[in-house]
Amino acid sequence: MLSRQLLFACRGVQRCCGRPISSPSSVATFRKCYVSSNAGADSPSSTTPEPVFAGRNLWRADTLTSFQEKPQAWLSTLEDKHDRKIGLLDLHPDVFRAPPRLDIVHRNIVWQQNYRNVQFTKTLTRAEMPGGGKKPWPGKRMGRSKAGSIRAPYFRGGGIAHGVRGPRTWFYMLPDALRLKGLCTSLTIKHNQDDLVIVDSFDRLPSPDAQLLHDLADHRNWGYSVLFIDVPDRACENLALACADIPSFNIMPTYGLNCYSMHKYQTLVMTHEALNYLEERILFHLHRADTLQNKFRYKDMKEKLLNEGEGEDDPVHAPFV
Amino acid sequence: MAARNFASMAIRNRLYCKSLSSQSFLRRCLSSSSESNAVSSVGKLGTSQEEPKIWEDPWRHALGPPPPPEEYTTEFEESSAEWKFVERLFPHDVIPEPPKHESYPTPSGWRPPRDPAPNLPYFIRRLRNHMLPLFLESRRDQLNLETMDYDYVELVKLKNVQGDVFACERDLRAYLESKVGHSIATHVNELQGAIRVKGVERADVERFLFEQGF
Repeated sequence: MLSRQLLFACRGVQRCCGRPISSPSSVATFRKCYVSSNAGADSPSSTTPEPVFAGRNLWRADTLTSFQEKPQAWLSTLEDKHDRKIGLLDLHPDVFRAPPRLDIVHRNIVWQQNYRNVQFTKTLTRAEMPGGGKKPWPGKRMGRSKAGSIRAPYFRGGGIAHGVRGPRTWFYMLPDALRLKGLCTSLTIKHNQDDLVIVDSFDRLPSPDAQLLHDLADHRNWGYSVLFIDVPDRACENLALACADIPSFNIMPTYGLNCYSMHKYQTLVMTHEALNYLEERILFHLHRADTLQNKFRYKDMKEKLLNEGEGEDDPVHAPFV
Repeated sequence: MAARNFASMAIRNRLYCKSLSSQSFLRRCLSSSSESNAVSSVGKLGTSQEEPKIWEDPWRHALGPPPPPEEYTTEFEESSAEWKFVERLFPHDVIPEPPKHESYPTPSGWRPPRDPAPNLPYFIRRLRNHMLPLFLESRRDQLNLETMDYDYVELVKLKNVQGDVFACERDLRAYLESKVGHSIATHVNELQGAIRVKGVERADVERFLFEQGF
């Protein structure tokens, strides 16, 4: 009886869940593990989703080491305020049990805060100030101090000696390896400190009521600030309306996930689909054939950056930056 | 008779050449070509109006109209049987698994990690390219007063050490000192799981790791 229940449970999960973890997994199976994930599972029409207790296939997880524990997370639902667990998921240890490199997380956060800084101010030196070419008074017999120009820095209204010099940028790019490690460490910290919540889907939220979301968060002991992460950048209607009334609850697509946001928000609520997508992308880059020590070259990104605002012209509204 | 024929031939030739060179001839050519174009644009039929006159193209009159150009069919058939020859030339996007060899070590000296892992208080994880996590670090040492150049020290860095890093360092030091013969300096970075060794070659540390089974 129990075995048949587990068998039916397997159907709802990824197709390749029956394969053992230690089998040699080729590149072809990599995509299959994460792409065919929620094709048939958890459609909005079904009222009670099938319990998910079968293991997820973790691509290239190291089975030899006994010093990296295999993390697990509950899969819950937002249908009502009581926390109903509908499954238990295995998480990939390389992503959710990465070594706690706080120095790398620090470098990531500092980078995020600084790389966008642009200084637009400029102060003029004595050479750039108007006037000041003529010696104002002779050096001797005046009883005044010597002066060469009325725009010297010791003059009122004179130029600035060591001032802010023109447009300046603090732009730099962290190597891919550091950014990946930072993401993995931040996810590890979030999961290890019970701040990571995995939910089946956001469109199960019954109503756009903000009070309902507040009660839900209180019941499940979420923090003051919650970050909802979903794969598409169009949010579900109910969740978007509810979060619009709560300033500390925000929604973000997976491509916007970053160390700063993960540490700013107390709780991270992720959908199952988002979890699969994140794991797939992070693992791809952790195992990609390209080097992770890449120098940022403007000419590689120039076309993409200059075409960024293409198709966003609106006859009425100013562009949003 | 022959002279008269020759004279009439010459006159005829002269007239023909003159007609060839004259403006009126050119105008007639252009008008005839435009007429022929007009005719061809209206209805593509091989009428007698389309064909050039004898004096406009005597070769055609003598040899006949040129044969029509060979017609090639533009149908094509897609075949994916040769795609595998293209696919195997693509660069890898993900590092592939190493192939299974009959015996280890391979000619390059590579061995896979032992399955199951050795029963030790530490574990050394392979890099993503299936190699051992051994690196060379060159650090600046003291100033050499004779040559007035800095001496550089080459250190071997062992990364990805999980578990008890100090136990790993003890075992490593004991093994290397017995192999190399002289004392060895080591530095342990516990937070990052790295050990730096001074006074050995990278190959010695690699031998230690392969013998342990990592």
